Amino acid sequence: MTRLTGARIARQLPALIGPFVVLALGWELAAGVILDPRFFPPPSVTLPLAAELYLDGDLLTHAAASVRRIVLATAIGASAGIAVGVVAGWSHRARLLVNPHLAVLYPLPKIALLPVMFALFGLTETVRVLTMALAVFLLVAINTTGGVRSISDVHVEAALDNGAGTLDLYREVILPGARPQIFSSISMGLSVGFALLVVIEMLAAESGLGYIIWNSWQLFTIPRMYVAVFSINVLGVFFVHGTEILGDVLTPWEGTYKQ
Amino acid sequence: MSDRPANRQMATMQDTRMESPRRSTDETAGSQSGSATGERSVRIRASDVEKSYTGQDGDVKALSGMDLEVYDSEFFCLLGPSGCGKSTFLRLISGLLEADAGEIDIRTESDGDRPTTSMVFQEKGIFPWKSVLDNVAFGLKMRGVGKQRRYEIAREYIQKVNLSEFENAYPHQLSGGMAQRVGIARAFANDPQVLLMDEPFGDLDAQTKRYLQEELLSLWSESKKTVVYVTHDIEEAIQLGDRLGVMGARPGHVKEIVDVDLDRPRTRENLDIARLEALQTRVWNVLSDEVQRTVERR
Repeated sequence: MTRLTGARIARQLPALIGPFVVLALGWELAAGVILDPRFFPPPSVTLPLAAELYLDGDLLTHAAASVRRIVLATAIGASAGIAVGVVAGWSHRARLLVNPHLAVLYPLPKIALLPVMFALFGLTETVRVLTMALAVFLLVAINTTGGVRSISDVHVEAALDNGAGTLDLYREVILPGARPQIFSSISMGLSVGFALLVVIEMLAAESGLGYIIWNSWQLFTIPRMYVAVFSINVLGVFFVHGTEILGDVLTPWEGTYKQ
Repeated sequence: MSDRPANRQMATMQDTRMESPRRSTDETAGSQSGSATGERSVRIRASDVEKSYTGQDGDVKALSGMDLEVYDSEFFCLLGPSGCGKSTFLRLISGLLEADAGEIDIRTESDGDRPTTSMVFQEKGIFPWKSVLDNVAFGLKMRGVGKQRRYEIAREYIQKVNLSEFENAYPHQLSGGMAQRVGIARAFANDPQVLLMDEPFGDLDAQTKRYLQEELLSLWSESKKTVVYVTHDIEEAIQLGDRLGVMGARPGHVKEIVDVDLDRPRTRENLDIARLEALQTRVWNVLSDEVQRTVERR
């Protein structure tokens, strides 16, 4: 399995790196001809700067702050979402109780809640993480509910007929049955989480890549801004696609993962 | 595995007694059966079973006054039009559903932890997220059999249904017929005292169906398990069964018991065609007014 995963990543890598290479080459060629280098510094400027900022400056600290936030928010949001989704998917009564709340909260842009959250918890790291976690939670809870409900009755009957207890039912039927939806919703949650991360760091943080982007724009240190923009892009690709690949590896029965 | 048949036989000969953990137990059933049916011992006895479902327009009676006796080691086919409650009855025997009234007794042998019943489902009864091997070993896993031992047993039955090359495949890689063989292997690997089958070949093409029927019969004659096989297909029932319970619908009940007195194997050369046709006509006569009623109500 590990070798197959490695082979799969090696096969996908060119597809993920390719766009960056094409963009960099085009940008370099167009710089000074049709692109104003004050606003669009070419890779020959930004790449050495990136090395400098990461090795000697404090960009690594900021990137680490962003990673910490997205990882915490996803971990909290996804575990709560899976727990609520499994219960709501399994029990009709729980679903009647929970669903209306999810349905109302889901379309609300979570960033609108940021001031409310600050009023509740103060200007803290908790608020930044929880606001993102809420977005992940809603996506994962709704999709997990759907995933559990899509499990066909005959599989539950088959498990019971073979002597499965309640715990076995969760471990052998409900969780694997909903696993494809759980992973795709975590991946979706991560991309929504990244959008929130940048906005929250721009508005209400003194650290993180979003903070660097906004701060650089205001100080007009445009090359530094691009270094942060591409950093968040690379992190996004890593986390969002990484979760998808992990999901495919952990659901080999789906057949998306051809050997 | 070599010790299993001997074990089973000993249990049947010496150590049989009434024991039904999931269903009600009738202590006198054993002696009654002796006088009522002569030589043959009753394995399953259903008396006056009722079952209703709560539907949109109130309760719907699925079964009422359902009486049935299934003998030890026989292949019993429950035959009836769709919606006559035959699948419901199978679920009552398995314990997946509980009867509203009446009793179902299953005579069980105190033979270690063999399950009383095991079901083969209509289709898609195997878990898509488990490999063939893990599907077949599932019941054993649930009963706490260690990994090495349960895989050993599972592989034996996978071989019996000719799927050895596919033990690591997932169900989406299998054809319908192969998937149903996995379901059969899972039930046999459980080594149940009674095998329940819910139209297992209903969705297969005629050739595959024929092939799997023969495979099933050879597994059955090797194990001599009691089988209750639900189908709506008259020819299939006559091809497979020792006896048929022909059911009437709304609410479901047994209308007539038909003895299939055809020699096995029921191959083309071996078959008494005149007798077969007589049986078909008899079953069809019982069923036809049922079917007519069902069709007219739609």
